[in-house]
Amino acid sequence: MMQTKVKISEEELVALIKGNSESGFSYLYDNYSAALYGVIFRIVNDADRSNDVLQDTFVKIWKNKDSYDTSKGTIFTWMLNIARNSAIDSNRSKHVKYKIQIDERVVDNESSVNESYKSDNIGLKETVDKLKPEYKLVVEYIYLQGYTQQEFSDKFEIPLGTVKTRTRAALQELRKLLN
Amino acid sequence: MNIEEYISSGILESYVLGQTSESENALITCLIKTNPSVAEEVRAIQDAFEFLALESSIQPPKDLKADIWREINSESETSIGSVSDNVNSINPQKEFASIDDKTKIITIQEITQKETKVVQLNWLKYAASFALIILSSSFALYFYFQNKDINQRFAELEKNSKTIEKSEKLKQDYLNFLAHNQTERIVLAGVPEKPNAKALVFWNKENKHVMISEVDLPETPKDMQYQLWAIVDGKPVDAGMLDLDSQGKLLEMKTIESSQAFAITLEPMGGSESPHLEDLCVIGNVK
Repeated sequence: MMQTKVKISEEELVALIKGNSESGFSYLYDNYSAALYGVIFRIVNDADRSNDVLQDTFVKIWKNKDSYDTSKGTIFTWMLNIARNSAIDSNRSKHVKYKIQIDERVVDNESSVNESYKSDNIGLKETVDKLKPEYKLVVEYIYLQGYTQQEFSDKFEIPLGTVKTRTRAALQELRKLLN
Repeated sequence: MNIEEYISSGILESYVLGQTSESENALITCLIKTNPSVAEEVRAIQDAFEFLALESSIQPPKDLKADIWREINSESETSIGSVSDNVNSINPQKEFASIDDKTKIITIQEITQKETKVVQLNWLKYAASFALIILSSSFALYFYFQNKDINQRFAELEKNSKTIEKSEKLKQDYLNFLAHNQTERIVLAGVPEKPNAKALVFWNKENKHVMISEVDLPETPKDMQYQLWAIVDGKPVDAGMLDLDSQGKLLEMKTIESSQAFAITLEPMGGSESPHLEDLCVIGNVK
């Protein structure tokens, strides 16, 4: 239903990367690195550090691919979560140095995100733009930047219950738009 | 909380984002296996989430790919050493010294028989009175032991009748429990890997008692035991251990205040504080 770049089945993909070959890595990188990089860049907001985090992410994926278990979700979601967590970890370790940037990542992200939409992805902008503003915020912070519902609630001073409802409603809206 | 409320609570979205706790993950993983609506929902959330990520892609710099592959290879070279270390450090299975059956040697001391001098004088008199003493004392002993035996058998009978009375009362209690209008009957079905496993849980919403029967689970490996869990607001709560020979028996388990589902996992002997859901055998939802 979605125009993903994935051309092989989930099982084939898992088998391919577990095979440990360069062609497996190459397939994975060609198909997913841009998506992972997008997630990382939004959180890290620095090109050099994004490169490091992407490298770190792929090293972790490669190291842990044998413990990846298909029953715990798709491999793509698994990789996205590794990328997001690595980016958040990177921010934490650079917390002092990048404090200002992190605190102001609302403003910073707006510009970088918009730029990337313009250059690469008109699709998302159109789809996400159709969402209500409060859902757009949830999509950006919770789904793309990996804020927990509690963090989002604290940051925007919105009651946790409302955040929970919106987290779900935003994705449901998006699902409607995609279908 | 029923399954629809659980789905709409937003927890599955957090799960897809990897923001749920270990125990929540375990529960959701097992719900995905057993509940098609949960599985479908998680799949749909993943699809939407992956779509978002793909559509917000940013191309990384061109030469990064070769750098990363080089890094992966150098990482895997350095880790070979530590892998072989791990292999070496695996403890060989502990050998238990077998206890030799030591035969106890009982030394029998030879009884030396002393020669007794036969006393000739008044031999008959003594013999007669001696015989009388033997006879009377053996009667006394006989009656004493017979009486003791009767007392013992009476105590046994009394005990038996009490046991029967007790078990009758227990049967009646169980019957009342099973027939009670607040007793829910929950069929626990096997996970896909164990399609033939099953069990039947009875849970009374009023007095909170839990019983289990019709247990049909694979034989437990050595030092392992089955444990029943109640799923209470998304968290597994211990509902007691199953006896090792529980097949075909009706067992009373721990009382459970509230529950959305019951599940049985294979745990080390004596049970665990939180379930190993990868060893989930059967699960069933409370209606």
